[in-house]
Amino acid sequence: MKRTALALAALTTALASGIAAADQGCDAAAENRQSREALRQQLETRGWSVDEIEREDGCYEVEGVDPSGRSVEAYFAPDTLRLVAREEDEDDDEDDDDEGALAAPAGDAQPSNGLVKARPSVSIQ
Amino acid sequence: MKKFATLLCLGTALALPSLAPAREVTFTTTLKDYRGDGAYLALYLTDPQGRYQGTLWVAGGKSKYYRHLRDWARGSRLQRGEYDGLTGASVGSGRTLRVTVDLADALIDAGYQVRVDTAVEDGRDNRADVVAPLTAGQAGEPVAGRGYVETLSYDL
Repeated sequence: MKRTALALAALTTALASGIAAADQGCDAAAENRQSREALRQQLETRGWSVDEIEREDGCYEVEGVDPSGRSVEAYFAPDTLRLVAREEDEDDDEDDDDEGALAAPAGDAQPSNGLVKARPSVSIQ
Repeated sequence: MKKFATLLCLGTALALPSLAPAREVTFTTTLKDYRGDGAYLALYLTDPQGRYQGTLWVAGGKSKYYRHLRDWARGSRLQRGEYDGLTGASVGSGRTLRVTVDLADALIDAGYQVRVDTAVEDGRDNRADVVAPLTAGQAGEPVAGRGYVETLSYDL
């Protein structure tokens, strides 16, 4: 449900700024489309962590974490792999309410489970 | 009596970790090159029977997917207090996650196991993808996973 709302918000933003989605290149011909794997590699090279890539209204919809650590949903043209629109994903809990009242993770909080005393040092390479 | 003393130490370590001697432990989880979306991982401790004892780290930004980390989800009951402050980004195919935590000394060589559950969008959910005993002797020895995990190892 939220995904649809975010997609609409992102595309509405593009349309409101006078730029139709088609003009962004999301209606690219099949032979000009690049693969999801190509987009994934491009983004990971730039420091993104990609959770998933789906097709949405002709664009590639990416859910993940950008290089600054923000959870985002972003839309990319399938031929140029250029960013079309993005929404910061600050309200995970709305989705969680739909799927069982599971709270969003508090990534910056201090651990309180009694096993780990302080936030761990973590790297992904 | 000795058993009672050991249990008392373990109880203290879990209940009052700030008072227990601790050491830095780095857990290294390397994923296979499965060429899919980023994997969600739960790194956690169990007792020898596999009963959940506590969360070390959860990789994956959307809590709505945490239920796919099935054994961990069951053990933690997905209670926020179990993973608050212990979450981060998912881990890409072929990548290596390193998590360094301070763990109470009493947890080493005490029968505990470190486990990793994994899940990938449009892929499989792997309960206990990899299991390793938490012992000084096991340190530095990689253990092969059976799902998305290539190896898990840790350094004390």
